Amino acid sequence: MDLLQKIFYLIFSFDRDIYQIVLTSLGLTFFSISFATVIAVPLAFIIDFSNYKIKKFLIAFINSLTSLPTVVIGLIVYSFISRKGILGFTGLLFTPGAIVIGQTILAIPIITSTIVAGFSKIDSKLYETLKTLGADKRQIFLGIISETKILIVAALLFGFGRIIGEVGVSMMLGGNIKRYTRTMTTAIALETSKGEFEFALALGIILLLIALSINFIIHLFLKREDKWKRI
Amino acid sequence: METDIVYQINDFKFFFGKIQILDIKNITIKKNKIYGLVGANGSGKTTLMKILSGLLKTNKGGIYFKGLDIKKCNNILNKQTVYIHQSPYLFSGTVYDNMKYPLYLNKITNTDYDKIIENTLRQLEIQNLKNKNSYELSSGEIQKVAIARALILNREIIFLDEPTSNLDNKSIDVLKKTLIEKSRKNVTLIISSHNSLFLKDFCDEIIYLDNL
Repeated sequence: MDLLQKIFYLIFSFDRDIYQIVLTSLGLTFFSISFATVIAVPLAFIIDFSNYKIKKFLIAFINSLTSLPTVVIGLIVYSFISRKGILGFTGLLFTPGAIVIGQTILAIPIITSTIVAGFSKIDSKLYETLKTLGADKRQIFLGIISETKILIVAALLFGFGRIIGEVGVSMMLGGNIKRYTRTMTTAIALETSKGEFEFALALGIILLLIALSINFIIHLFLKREDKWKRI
Repeated sequence: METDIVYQINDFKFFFGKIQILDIKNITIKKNKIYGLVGANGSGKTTLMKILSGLLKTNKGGIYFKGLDIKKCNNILNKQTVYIHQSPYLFSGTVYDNMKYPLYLNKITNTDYDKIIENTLRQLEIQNLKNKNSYELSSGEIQKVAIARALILNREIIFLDEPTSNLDNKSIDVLKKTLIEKSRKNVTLIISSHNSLFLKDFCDEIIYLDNL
């Protein structure tokens, strides 16, 4: 069997090891994005409603956090949850929980900055219209969420796409333990170093398909938003 | 003591950063009258209307709403005034959704939504737009829907920023008729426009804002 045949066989025979890794990756990223959403969406609102000078500073700060190397985040979290760290007693190191913590920290600035960038394109008239029509603070918040939901979902998907492809946090905090913390990216790195190209390439293709699908969905969402912007 | 003065503006200055936008010596706005606001581009018409409607906050004194310092009237202003933008924002959904939303925001219940929406749309002769999606509308139609959406709230004071800028002559006549009817129902109207003919035609008083 040549290389391509072996790769497609692994993918389409639903190889247990491969799909276990895929499911682990998807599950961990899902939880990370869910936790990050709870923090990032309100944070984006706080930044957007801050006064001009504070907003400018916060945007610059959040934007600079998006470029933090994943291994640095891994290292920082590692220093907290390793046996000698302040949170060493939790025993989180090399568990899925540790990966979720690291990925959540990684995702927060990515999602926040994407939403804030989206908000800046929205007409300030949305806020004024809600206010002049008699909306209270809660109604204004819900009104803006409702009008910008496409943008927020696109930001979450963008974050998902970025997080599922990261390797630094998963490797440092998860330890790449088989059937426990092994994700697509850490498995690809391991299998490549072992010379198991078929396995690594099969995972690579699945990862690529997931990333492309997410980008396609984002594109569809933003296309819908274009219509909405013409209003 | 009941007074017919709604807004009293005395020696009011407004700045955006270091740039002065407004310098008003004296303006009095009385109940149930129609005021035209005239001035060149950048004379501060929109800024003044946003301050008076509570959309823009001011730290400076000099503006009184029904005898109270406007700085303390934010909540009252949001419930008694409505401001319509020059190029208004319509919410996603249909025209009907846009008309119903303010009623929902103001917890106006026990009312026949369909009837009240239908009547308001009919006033501006746009009942045919009721089921259209907001992104399908032309800029003139958006303007008319935004005006209808504001009128449905039956606010005491209505601010219209360049309401005729996207309207054809027939629509301007319909709007004029609707606004005159409104002013007869205890509503104060403050309208800014470059169309001085439109204003002179039916305003009780014209306020001129000078360029600074």
